[in-house]
Amino acid sequence: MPIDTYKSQAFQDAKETEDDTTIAPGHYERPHFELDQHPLNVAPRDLMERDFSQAAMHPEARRAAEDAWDLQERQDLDLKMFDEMNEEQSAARSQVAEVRRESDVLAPGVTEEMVRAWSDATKIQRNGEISKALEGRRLQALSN
Amino acid sequence: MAIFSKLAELLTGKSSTNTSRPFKALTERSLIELESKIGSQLFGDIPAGHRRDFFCLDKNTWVWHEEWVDAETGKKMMSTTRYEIHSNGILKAQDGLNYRFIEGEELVNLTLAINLYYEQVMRGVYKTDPYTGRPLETASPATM
Repeated sequence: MPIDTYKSQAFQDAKETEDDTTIAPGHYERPHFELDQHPLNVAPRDLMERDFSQAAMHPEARRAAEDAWDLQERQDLDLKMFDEMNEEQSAARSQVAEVRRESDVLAPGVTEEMVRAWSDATKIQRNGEISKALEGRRLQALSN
Repeated sequence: MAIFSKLAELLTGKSSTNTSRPFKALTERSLIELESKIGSQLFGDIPAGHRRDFFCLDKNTWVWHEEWVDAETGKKMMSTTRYEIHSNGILKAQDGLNYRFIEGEELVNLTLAINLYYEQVMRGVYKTDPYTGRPLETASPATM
């Protein structure tokens, strides 16, 4: 509930029970906790920016805040490294994809059917060459 | 009919060749039998009770022959597949029937088999390097 609404509602409540209360409407302020009571309920960075320099900070709270800060820095560093690794991997993947795209692209006017026919023709030609070579080698062995 | 008579001689072992050149016919047949021993092993283990031949008959023809005994009838069965290499494709004739040009996976498999056959036969039967055509160097005896 927004603080204004809260205060307004509290004022209304107080007004309705005016005879029974000694609490003035202005006393309905947001509760304030000291840092040494709830140091880790606040995000470490916010804590540092807002209150870390306060001289009144409890030593335990300061230590907890420092630890939390260090932890967050390490996590940030890990995340940064992870991001960099991801970027490198992503770049490598892009390069591979690019090479694949280039190798998959057929020259203008060339169809997959033509590529298949060329591939089959190459196989047939190669098989014919091998058969001839074998027969030739056999005849050579016979003539020796 | 030359191919058929040559094939029949190879598969039945009965020679109908002109006796004027018996030695050549026998030698050619024995060479093909040696080649076929290698060829029959290119496709993995031969099932018990089966006989398999795979060989290059001449510069245009490859033969796959399989014989086995039917487990139920005890009858001897056989199947001969001939692959003829033409300039426009490889024609497959199974048991003298079903002529058709092979394509796709069958063409790839036959090409692989022919390549393997060439490589192993050149080395194993003719003691020749399949790539250079030069005789394989025989291991010289160890000298001290």
